[in-house]
Amino acid sequence: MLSVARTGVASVKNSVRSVSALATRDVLVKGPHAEVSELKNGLRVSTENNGRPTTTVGVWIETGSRYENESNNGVSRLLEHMVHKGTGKRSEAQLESELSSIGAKLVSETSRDHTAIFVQSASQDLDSAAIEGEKKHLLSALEEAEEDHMGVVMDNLHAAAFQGTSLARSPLGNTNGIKSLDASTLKQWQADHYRPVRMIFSAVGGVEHGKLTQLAEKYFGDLSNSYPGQIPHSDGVRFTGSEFRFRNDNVPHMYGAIAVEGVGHGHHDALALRVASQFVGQWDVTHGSSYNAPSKLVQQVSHGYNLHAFQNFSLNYKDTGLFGVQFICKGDSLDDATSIARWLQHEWKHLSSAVDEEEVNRSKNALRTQLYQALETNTQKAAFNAKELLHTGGVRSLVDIEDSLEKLDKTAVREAVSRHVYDRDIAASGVGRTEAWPNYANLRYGMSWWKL
Amino acid sequence: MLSRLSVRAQSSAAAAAPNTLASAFDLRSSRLTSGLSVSSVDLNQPIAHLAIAFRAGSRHQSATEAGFAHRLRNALGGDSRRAKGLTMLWQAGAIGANVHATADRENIILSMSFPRSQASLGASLLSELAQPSLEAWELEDSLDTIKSDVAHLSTYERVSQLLHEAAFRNGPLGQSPLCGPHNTGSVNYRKLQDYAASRLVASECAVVGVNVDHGELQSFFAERAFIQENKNRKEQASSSYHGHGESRREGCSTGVAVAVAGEGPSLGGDAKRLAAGAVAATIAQKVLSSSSVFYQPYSDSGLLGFYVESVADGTTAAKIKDSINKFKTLETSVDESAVQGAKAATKVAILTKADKGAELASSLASSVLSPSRDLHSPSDVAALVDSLSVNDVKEVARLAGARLSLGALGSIRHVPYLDEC
Repeated sequence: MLSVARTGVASVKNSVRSVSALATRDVLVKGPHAEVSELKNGLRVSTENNGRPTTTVGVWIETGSRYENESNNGVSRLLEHMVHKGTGKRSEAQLESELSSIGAKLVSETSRDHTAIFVQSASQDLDSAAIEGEKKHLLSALEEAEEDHMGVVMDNLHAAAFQGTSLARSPLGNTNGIKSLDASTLKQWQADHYRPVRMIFSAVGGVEHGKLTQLAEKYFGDLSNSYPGQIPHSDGVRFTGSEFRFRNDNVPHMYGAIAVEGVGHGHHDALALRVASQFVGQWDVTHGSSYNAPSKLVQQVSHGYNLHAFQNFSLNYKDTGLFGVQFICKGDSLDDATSIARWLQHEWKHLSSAVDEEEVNRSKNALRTQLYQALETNTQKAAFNAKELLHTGGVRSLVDIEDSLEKLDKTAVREAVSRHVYDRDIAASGVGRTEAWPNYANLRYGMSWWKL
Repeated sequence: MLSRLSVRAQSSAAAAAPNTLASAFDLRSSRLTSGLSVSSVDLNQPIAHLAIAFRAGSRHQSATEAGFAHRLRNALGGDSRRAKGLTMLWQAGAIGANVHATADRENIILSMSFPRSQASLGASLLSELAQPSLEAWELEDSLDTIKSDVAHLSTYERVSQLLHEAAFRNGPLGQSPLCGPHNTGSVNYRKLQDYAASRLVASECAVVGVNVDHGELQSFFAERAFIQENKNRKEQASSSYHGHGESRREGCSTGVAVAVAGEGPSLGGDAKRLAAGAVAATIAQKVLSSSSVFYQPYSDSGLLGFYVESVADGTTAAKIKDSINKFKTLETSVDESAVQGAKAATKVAILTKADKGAELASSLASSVLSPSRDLHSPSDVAALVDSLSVNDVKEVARLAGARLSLGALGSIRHVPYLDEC
């Protein structure tokens, strides 16, 4: 550090460059890579052997709320939960005891465009008493989810931004939808969706590809690809500039999100937008840095506007996405809320036309830390590999990602933000004390007007 | 600078052949002449994690130094004697680093994650950030953060503090790791500087690097880092578990939160007992499925217990009573099959947790500073868990159930007294 303080940044950069010979990229080149093969019935098997003593094995299925309609909204999640109730070959108790004897846990989740079930395969037989029980569970989970204000903000944001399309629906389902579900709907859903071409069998840990392929052949090899029902399809995508406010003054703060339409998972601007998102950054009141933070936005908004937290996001679905910021503020002043939005939009406009090479490099490093750190565990990497396969048809190695990240420069970031953010329509969503929510038209002007 | 929207944590795994990690997990450790210990492991991952830990947590505060550990933690990131805090934070930002400071009852830990190419700059920033100058104006700047930390305390943290007061009374472990609500104002900076001068020193310090070169890290801290040497070492006061104590605070909510615990194994004791504690906790979680079980070993004592938060109504008292009785008789649930299952689950939990480099670095740093100074790799710990007998676990469960302590917050009229259970 002494050398840093005395001789300035230049010498540090040189010394860093000299060590980088054995650095980040080399590790990625040497690191374990995913092997992918396909069974006869179209099921794809992806494994990555990192020699660790633990392994995550799971199935990722292309299903989820974007394939549902108003009357069966919630069916993907209900079916996913039914997996825990045992299968045709094993009862719930058997399943639990067999898994716990090897220390394993069955985990599952459903989002808008996929369901993931780890460790054990999907169920074949469905018992209607168990379905009723699980429906009650989901309805109470739905009530609990309303207490997660930021979760509601993001659900409402989707409902507004993608209104009239299937992406608007929440994976949590809706009360009427869940109540009307029965065993035959579930079975139909399973028959339509849990098909080998829509499934990825993904494993990361101390596993051999050959052994996993044999297992996949044994347990999934008999699934057929014929469709007695209909091939599931999701409607097209349409982004609508709009606003969704849910005012509830009993909530102590204003929770909100503002976003433009982002890009799909495989889009060539996806990485540039994630870099841009990192530039916006995140902050909350418990952070040690405010005036002195290494981000212009944090310096501006952390004081004086009663802001409690903000966080960037850049979500990618298969064919579209959302790029924006979520925030929590006190919600007692229209001026405060408007100023926070202004500063945020100022950063976006800066990104579209004036961001410089140094700023881009900082954001690229921040993205490296976030991206690679989020792939350290077996489960995270297995999910990454599976979603890559589902969305793009192949698994990009981290070296490829590192190389495309390395190539990104200020021009790429400026162009991506100009294309997707500057002067684009916005979707806004507010929950809680939204009386002080900024005027929509004003916000929309702020996407291009510098003097606002 | 802290990343919060990480991928949702999920644990699931199947046990594979043991010892495959042993070769990959090459844990190295060296002690410098200054007393500072440097340990590292290279898992060949792209992100490097560094942690520097000092035995400076709240248990080391004297009666007149309440809240100093919290203030010290929040002052990290300010100026040091040699460099400006602003410059250091911007340099940390330039290499994409997440900087995180935590303070618990034992240690203050400053940790950093960044792309491994930047290791040399990262190490120098970390060592310098960990030696704050604590000038009066620096402390002034962090006053707001102290207040908001206290305001944002979770119910669990508040109840946990009540439990510690009941369990350890006026002993060092009874002190809160954070400032109390009455105690968030300004502080005499000279006293805080004295505290830092006696605690943020080489002999009380451990550095751990994950995914860095051991030789480079060691030579940096041996030759170029400025960690103060110790001048007047204070002996650490010991804290013993009392039990049969209760600390209850009426709150305005309609719910109630209760933490109940008994004496658990300590970090200074036998490593086998420490592992047995983890297995006992796994069994307790299965028995008490509606509460969350916690296991917190300290250097000379420990807690093993459960926490439950619920709406207060007519049935609450009976439910809590039932849980307390189940926990008292935990020993009877410890049999061959329960231990087998719990051992497997504990091993997977230990090994899965070690996959997260940032957590690994902090937890290794804490174990270097524990009295036994044993540094176990996660696979060693897993092997230790494997070697446990039913009696080892039974003994820990018996001790935990023998003398309980209780902390409660909220509608405490719904919480039975321990001697009524």
